[in-house]
Amino acid sequence: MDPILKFYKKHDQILLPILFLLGAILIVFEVTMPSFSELTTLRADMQSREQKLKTYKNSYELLNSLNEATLNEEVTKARQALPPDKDPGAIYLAIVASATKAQSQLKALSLRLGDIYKKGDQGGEKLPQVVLTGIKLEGMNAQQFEVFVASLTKEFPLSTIASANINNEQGDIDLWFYYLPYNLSFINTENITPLTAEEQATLRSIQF
Amino acid sequence: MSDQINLLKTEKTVRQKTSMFFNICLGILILVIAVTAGEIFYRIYLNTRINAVDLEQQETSQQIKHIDAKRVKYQTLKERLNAIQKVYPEIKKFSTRLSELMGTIPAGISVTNVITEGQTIEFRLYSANLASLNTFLTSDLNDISKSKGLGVSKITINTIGINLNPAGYSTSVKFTFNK
Repeated sequence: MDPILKFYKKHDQILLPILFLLGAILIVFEVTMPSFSELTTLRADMQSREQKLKTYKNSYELLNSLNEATLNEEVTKARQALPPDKDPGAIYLAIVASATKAQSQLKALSLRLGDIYKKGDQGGEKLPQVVLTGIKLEGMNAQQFEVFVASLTKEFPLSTIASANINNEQGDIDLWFYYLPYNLSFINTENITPLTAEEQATLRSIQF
Repeated sequence: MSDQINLLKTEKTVRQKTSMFFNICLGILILVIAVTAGEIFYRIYLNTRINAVDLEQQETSQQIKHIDAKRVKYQTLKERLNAIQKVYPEIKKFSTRLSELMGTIPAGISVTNVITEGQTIEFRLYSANLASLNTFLTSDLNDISKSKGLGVSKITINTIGINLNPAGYSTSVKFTFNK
């Protein structure tokens, strides 16, 4: 008889359990433990995909619920308030319309293009840039200046008086007209969220 | 005779212990196999779910693509509003402040000059009546400084003078606002 078989038959009550134990240890180290760490990664992967799916679904539901006509109006309003590019024509018209309402005359106009924010990005967000405009108005007093400012805010909401000197029926005024090129990475983002209360308030406050 | 009895007892104990050891080891092996099989089935289940989620995500993405124009408009709106709210509150403040300050100038006093720069607005005022000017400087300016709505942080009276032509009195008042 084979000596190994003989040995086995003599000690099978001890050898078999030892083999079982060795087998169990082998399975734990070669199969169970590697499989466990893969499972953890797989679970995390599944959770992130489910989260992404939820984001997609929420985005779709939000977009579907929007009224097309209202959205068109709001986008037009926002674009008019903050144009995507420098528009000297619109700036000129806004100044002339406001001067006319203030019953004064535009005598001179100069435009300079410049960023008022040297660091154009703050935390990845782009800030509005300005067209620097200098004007001279004739036939302007303090009351007419008030009318001019109020009118300009309606003609071009994102414009501001940087400095002004109204004296002897003349007005020397430095104006800023804001504009902002489109941020395509923001526009193309997949996560669509509802307008915040602050954004809605801003939309309501813009008046032409 | 007593030795044989003792031997039998020992052999029985050894067999029992060996049998218990065998059962324990077999139990451990079965448990490990069961746990490993459970892990394998769970992994298959997770993979199936991931595939289903991916498919659903692709379908939803396709649905969003059909309304892509709407998505672009909406994101453009959000993008504009995000930028507008960074500067618009400050812009509105100037127009409001100017109107409110002009509203505080009483009858009998006229604003002959306006100089503005940054957070300051300066008025040059003229009045034919010294009493009116005096009331404005001593009482009205006090009210203006206390008005929280206006947000005036400082009022500086720069000059007070007598005008000869036209006859009257003039002063220069500078208002500095909180940012």
